[in-house]
Amino acid sequence: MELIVDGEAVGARDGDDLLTALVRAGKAPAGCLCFAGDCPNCLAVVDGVAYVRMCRTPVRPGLDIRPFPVSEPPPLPDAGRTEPVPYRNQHVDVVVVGAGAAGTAEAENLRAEGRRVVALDDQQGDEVLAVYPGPEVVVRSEGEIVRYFASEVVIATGSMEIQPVVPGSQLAGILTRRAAERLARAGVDLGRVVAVGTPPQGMECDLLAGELVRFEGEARVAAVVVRDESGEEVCRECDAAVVDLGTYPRDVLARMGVPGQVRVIGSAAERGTIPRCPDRGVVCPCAGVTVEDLDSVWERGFRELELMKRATLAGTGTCQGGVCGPYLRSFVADRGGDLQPSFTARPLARQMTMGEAAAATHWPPIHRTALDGLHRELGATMDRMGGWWRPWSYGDTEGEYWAVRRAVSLGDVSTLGKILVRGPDVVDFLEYIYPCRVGDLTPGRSRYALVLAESGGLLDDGLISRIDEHTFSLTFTTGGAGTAEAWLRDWARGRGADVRIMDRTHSLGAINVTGPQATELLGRAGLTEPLPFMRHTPTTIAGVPCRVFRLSFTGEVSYELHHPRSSSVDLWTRLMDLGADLGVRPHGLEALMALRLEKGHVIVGMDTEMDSTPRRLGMEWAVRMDKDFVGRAALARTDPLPLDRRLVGLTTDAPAPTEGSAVFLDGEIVGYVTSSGWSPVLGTAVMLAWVDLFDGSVPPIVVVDGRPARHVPIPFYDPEGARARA
Amino acid sequence: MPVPEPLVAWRAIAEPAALDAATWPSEAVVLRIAPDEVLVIGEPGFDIGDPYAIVEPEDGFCAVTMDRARLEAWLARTAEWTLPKGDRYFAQGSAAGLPVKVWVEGDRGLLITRASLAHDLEERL
Repeated sequence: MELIVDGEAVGARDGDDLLTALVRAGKAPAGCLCFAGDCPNCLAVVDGVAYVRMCRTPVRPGLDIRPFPVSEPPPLPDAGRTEPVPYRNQHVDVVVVGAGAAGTAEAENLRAEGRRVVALDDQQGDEVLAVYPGPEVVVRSEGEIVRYFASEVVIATGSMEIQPVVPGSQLAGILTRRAAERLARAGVDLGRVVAVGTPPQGMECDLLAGELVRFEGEARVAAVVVRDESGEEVCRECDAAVVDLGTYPRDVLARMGVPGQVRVIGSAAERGTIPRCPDRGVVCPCAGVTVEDLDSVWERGFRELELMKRATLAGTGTCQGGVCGPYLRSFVADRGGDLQPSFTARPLARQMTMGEAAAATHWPPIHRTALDGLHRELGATMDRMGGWWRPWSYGDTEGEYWAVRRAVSLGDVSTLGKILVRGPDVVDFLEYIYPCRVGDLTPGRSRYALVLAESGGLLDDGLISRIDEHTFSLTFTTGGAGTAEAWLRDWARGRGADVRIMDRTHSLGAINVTGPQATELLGRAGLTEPLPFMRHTPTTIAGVPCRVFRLSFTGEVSYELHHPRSSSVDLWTRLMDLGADLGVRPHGLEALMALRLEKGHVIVGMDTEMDSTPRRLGMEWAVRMDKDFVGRAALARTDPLPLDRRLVGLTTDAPAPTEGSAVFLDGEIVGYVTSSGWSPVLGTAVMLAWVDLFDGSVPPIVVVDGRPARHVPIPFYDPEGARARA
Repeated sequence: MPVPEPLVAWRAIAEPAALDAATWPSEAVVLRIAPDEVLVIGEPGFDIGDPYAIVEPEDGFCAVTMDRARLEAWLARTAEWTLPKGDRYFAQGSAAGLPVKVWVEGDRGLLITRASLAHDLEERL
């Protein structure tokens, strides 16, 4: 069969691996070849995949092979690979890595004990990439990634041959003994072979006794030089050199595993040969680290193996210490006197493609409200916000904005956190959770509330609504919904509060009906009794059972309709039909952001930081210091301190500055803008910004985006709140 | 590919001891998803002896009914946890990056996740 090597056809035999085929064709790559996957000297881009070890890859007709030296980056593939790599998980009792004599015997023993065993060996197509705590073993197997979850991993990976580190060891035509024996079995003629150490079986060679000194040659080895017992150098010409310098445990996977989860047997568990400390030469071919480099970092005080690895990058490359590991230990022992243990191994032991890395992972799922399909049908631009897909705009943000300010509009707020709390201790419990008064709320009433961390910083905000004597409905922001239940449960458990807590966030849809015509629309839909501001009631709206909350985030009359998720589409559709002549239309988040900014409502996490206390936010009105609550101790401790900065309102001319812009005073930065936008109704740019105080006051004029910006009170729009309460 | 359908269910949160002692309709599938929480698939009509129990109709889940062998093969491939053994079991955890609950009885299986993740489940099945 034929392979394509660097664009040229090269013959190969059935049963060959790629490296054997190349050596047979006289195209041996540079460096000592091990034919065991331990060294980094036979790398190639194979059919577009880089860092493939040719010695571990069987030949197939037409393979496109581009060998490259480890010291250089591989050529980029002509085209990206887009097809997903398949993966599967498999649960077994024991994973045995290595199917040599020790591994095979151990696997048989374990099977005889009735344990489910999987035996893996790269010679059989299962290339172990990593061992993770668990233990979990990640394997590349016939084009797919397999993750084995086991109770134990047995490492029986045997030993690897020590590579030569002498001048000239990067020449082509050098082989380890086992590699030479493999080539002999494959019938490859290497010409005149000189062997140092135990000679290979099945191959005629000239044995050269003595200590290896160097290889000589241009690109390819032409002679081997040893020092004999008398101390004299002996040189022997050759076409190929074979070295046997002893073996070393192939233990990278063993060192990767967690003790107790991984057991090492056979040669992989042995001490192995510690080679003589090299005098000269490349110790780490992956990172190009020489003996001189090691001496340099040693002189600078890096005296531990882990530090030398970090200082030189030896051991961090393609072969993960397969070549340099024994020599680094030998070097440190020679210079420092102690034989230090091998450095820590971390995944991966083998290179993998981005596709393989992504094979067993999934995008974190993004939740969709029941109205998601409807938003998309309406042409909404959807965006990910707080873990949900949400409509950012339906294509006419200004029109959506004016529908809220002048008519009526629907917004999908199903993503808000919605939690029910019930129990005999519910009032005491919520009094402790919230800094505002809770017990004086009568059934049917609601109150805006802050949620503070123990540090006194704002964690979240929302609405407290009393359903009956022992039941409250709580809302949280979209971003805070995911942790709200755990927050409440933790405090309930810690305080021994007798309450039941049910997260209804994913069970209930919520539609915000907002605008001057909202009351008219809901009247048509069935809300026959007027519902005052900050009240709530269970009722049926357009045939759908709802709990209706009267509140406002937009600054206009607003009703939030909480309803069974399965009824969201019906409810939305009927409201749109009923309000057609009122000019009802949906609004997206972009319009909502402008509307809430005009009212100065903060977005937790956008306008606030971890240390945003109610005082810094100008929200002391939401805190009752005459009771105990989460964060009170921190507020009591910091309240006597002078206030250093505040979240304030700023206005300037068009265009609205970019959010995040610095706020300047006399050329010095004194704050930054958290929210910014053009206010259509006010005809000015409005901003929320953190600004330092000077003598306890906010500077009346600051500079943002190179323009003067005026400090104004918030809310910017309808400061009395008359429109929301209408 | 199977398509997730809305799950008609009820959810109750109550004292664990009250849930232990509760009586359930014989035809209902009662999944104890937490010590203080049950998901009841089927019609209401159960009695929980906790005066403060929260019992609500549950619209927040969707489910795929499928052949047990196929369900278990999918879970074996995508879950990092080991499936329970037996003719009838309930399990929950992450599979294919999604939070799932699994109810298996005989040769049928029910794969449940959040209704808000129905689209993702359909894609990942």
